Amino acid sequence: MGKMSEDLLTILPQIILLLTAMSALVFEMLRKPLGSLYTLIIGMLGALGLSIYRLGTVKTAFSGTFRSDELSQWAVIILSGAAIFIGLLVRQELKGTDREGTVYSLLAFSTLGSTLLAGSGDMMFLVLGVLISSLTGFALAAYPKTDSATEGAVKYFVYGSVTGAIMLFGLTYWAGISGSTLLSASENTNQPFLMLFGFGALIAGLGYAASLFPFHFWTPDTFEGAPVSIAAFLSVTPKIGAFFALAQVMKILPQHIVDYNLILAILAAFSMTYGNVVALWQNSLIRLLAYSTIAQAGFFLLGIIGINHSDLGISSLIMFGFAYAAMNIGAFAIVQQVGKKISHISGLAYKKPFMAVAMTVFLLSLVGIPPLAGFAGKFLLFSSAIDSGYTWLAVVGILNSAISLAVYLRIISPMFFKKQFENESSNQYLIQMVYISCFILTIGAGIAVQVIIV
Amino acid sequence: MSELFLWILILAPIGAALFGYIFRNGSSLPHLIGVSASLLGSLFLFLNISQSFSQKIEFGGLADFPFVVVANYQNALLALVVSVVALAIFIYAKGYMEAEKGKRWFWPAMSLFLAAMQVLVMAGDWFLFITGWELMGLASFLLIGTWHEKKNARLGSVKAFMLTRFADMGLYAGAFLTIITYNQLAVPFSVTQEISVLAASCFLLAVMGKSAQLPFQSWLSGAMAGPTPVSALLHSATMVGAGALLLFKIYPILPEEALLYIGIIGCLTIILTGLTAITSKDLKQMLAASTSSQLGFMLLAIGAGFPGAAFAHWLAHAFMKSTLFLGAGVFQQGYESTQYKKIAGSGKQLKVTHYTFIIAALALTGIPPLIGYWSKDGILEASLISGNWFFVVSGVLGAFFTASYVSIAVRWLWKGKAEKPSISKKNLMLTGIFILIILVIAGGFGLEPIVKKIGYSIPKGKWSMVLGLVAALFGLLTGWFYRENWLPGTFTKFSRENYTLAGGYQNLVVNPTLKTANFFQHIDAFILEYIEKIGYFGLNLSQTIFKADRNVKTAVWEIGNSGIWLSSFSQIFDLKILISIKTIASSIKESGYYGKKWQSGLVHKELAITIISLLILIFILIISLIELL
Repeated sequence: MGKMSEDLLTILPQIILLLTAMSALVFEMLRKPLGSLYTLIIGMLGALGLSIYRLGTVKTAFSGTFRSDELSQWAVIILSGAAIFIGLLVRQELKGTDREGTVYSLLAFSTLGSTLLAGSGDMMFLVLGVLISSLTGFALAAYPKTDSATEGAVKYFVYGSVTGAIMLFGLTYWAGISGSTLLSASENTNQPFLMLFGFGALIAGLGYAASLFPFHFWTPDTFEGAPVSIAAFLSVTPKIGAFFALAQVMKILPQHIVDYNLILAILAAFSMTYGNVVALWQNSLIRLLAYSTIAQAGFFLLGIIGINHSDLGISSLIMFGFAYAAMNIGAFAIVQQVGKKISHISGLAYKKPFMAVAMTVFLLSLVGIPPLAGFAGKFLLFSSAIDSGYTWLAVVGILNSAISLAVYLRIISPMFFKKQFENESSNQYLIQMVYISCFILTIGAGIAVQVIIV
Repeated sequence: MSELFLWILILAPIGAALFGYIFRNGSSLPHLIGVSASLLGSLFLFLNISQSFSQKIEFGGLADFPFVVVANYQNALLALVVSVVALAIFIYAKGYMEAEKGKRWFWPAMSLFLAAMQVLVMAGDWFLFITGWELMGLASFLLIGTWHEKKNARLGSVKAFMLTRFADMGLYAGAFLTIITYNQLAVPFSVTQEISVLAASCFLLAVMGKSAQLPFQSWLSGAMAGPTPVSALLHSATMVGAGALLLFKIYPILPEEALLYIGIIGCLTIILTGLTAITSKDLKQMLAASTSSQLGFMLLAIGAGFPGAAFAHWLAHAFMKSTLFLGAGVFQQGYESTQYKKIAGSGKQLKVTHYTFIIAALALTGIPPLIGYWSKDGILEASLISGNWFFVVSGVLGAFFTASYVSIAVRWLWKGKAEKPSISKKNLMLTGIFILIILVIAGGFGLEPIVKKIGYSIPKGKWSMVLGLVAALFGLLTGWFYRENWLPGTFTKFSRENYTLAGGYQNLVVNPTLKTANFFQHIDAFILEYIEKIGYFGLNLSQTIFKADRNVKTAVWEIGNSGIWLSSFSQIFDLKILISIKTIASSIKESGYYGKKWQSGLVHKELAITIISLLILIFILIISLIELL
């Protein structure tokens, strides 16, 4: 087998995702949205299975521009699973709408972009991944064609354009210094200012995708305008992709020239704090969760800071990524069921006790209460940060967990202590399937954390 | 059946005593019933018991040391004699005490005394024996002090009690030694092992005290302060007899050496108390001294190795001496005194009494066929057989003295003139006397078989008979013609006052006792003083501790106060913290409010914030980089 075919085999999961997207589009052309969904599910399962099979092997493709390592493999696993769940949620929410199949196709494309980000060893892959995920995200957010959806989508687009331009601009300096687009090529540079500028630009681009403060401004509006299932997707897939990409970059960047971790720590602290305190003021469930995702983005950074200093760095990222995907999708699924306002969820415990319990579990997991998956993830993240010498950041993170408890109690409290239940929506089978699955994953991952941490 | 009689003979007087003690009416009837029941009990017991038969009844007590009463022939006989004499005396006492004071005290004490004697007689173990012994001591104290309003009665009772109590220590010590020698509480019968000389000496001390042997003879004369029936009871078959009875009981286990000491004590007592009796100026005092002297004969016989003779004399003496005392009591009732001078010639007025008195006196002298002859003859023969010349001389001299002092008494009663006295209830008193005089006259013939039946033997011999009779006749004559100036005046006085050597009882016993008591009192006071000092020291200490305590309390109080102050402070602080937390919370919320304001929804503004933030970030990084460089 030739070099080329070996490289293609290495990126086989990504190729599967691409083919899935294409096939889903084909089914949409055939006006067979269900076919698109099945294609999505089958394709995602294929990629997922392949990645699980490949766990533990490390390969690079195309002269080191793409890495098939632990991070990228787990990215495929987590994001493929997420795509399946989101597909089901989309099916429930957008069933029968015009161009339903394109959504499945776009989901696959976006997932592809995120997985490319997660495995990027080259600046071009970074740019490519950000562009794919952001463009598809823009299209997804704009899907309902309502004013608010369009507004959100446009904001997303504008933000993406600006930050993308900055990133592209900054990366050209990197490429210029090292004479190569390979991330590994920047090791031998002695231009710290330019490196620093390039890194700042890179943060802008990835931070936008990850809705990290101060690149987050699109998030609440876009989430509010977009369908709930799409919001769930945007809160999970680009974010995990972007953070895994940042982790890939940080793994390679020469640490002895510039202390990049300082900027990451500042961003983490601000992101966590900002997300939580603003979330306290939200009356919309979806906006609250949007700010919550901003805060959770800050937590991701703790793992990235520790990636060169702690054994737990990668493990904590994977664990928290997995947990985040499960609990966030679960929470969004329930929001999709009950409605976008906090008042919609009040009294849920009396009508749908299991759903209320599941919601509580998701939120508490987001806070980081044992033995749930969120706890395991956050525990590893804090450990990683402390190992790296960022104890103060871990303390800020823990304090933010406390504040986040206040945030999530704003949802939990009315569920159990207000009796009237306004939203008399009927049970939606697919949503139930999703949130119960997420529920099992949240609890199971928390308990079986040893299995996931390799 | 005999067991029932046994219990009756002991319990009847006890019941009477309790009855008298509880009802306090001074009636003689229950006591007469009591003594009669006791007599009947002892009589039937005596009749039921054959020579060889002896019944041991064990009851109560400790597991390995039961109380034992022994109903054998000797004990039954002794009990019978005691109850016969007691009955006679009780009957007499009913008459005697008719006009006297202290009946309420007198009668229960009499019954108690009788009961104690019966317990003593029947006792088969040391516990009961000592119980009887001590009860008798108590009863004698009460009886001698019947007229306790009189000083000499009080002194007499105390003296008797003190002297006998002192001697009683010997009983305790002896009993203790015997118990550990035989490892049993019962009074031993067999001769498997002799007790030590020390134990025997201890017993001898007890005997000397109880039987008024030298040098403890003086309590008897003091005891004369009691009513005459009391003297009769104490000095014949009971109290003084108890000492001899102890010797009978322990005779089988006495060692050879101890017998000699017993004999010597007996001899000395015979001679010295005999002289006391001769020099005595009072009928009752004479009889008291005579009692000591006669008990001395018994000790002499035991010392010579013939307890049979002693036993015979014990029986004989019981009857004779009680008769004499009862007679003396009649004279006392008639003339309010027993001094020879006061009752001189009264025999002519109280003829019946006088004749019985003479008969009893002759019996005591040892004139056949009266009862005293048989026993005294036996004792003299025993002393001859023993071959100890001191015993022989003492015995003969004793017989001579005995004849002398009774002769003197009879002469006093016979000679001179006296007014006719008026004695109420004289018949009752005479009844008592008659019962006894019959036994004195006729008892002699039954004495030997009875003693032999017990297992003792009374030795007989011609020499002893001749010696005894010669001594008696010579004594009677001597006594009849005796004048006080025959003996040196100082000796007479010395003898009369019971040989008060170096102050006698007063100097030898009372003063040392008082001095010892005084010494101990000083020690006591000394100790007391120190105890007091210790007490004061403790008091001071406790006061100091109290003060310290108070200080500690104050300190604790202050600590508590400061704790309260601290807690109130911390409460304020708490409140402050609470407010701070609230402030922080609200400020957090407020910051969220301001943060929210950034979220204007206007893309250009938001993008501007983003760019500015990014620039700030890069700026920070550059600064850090400059530091790094």
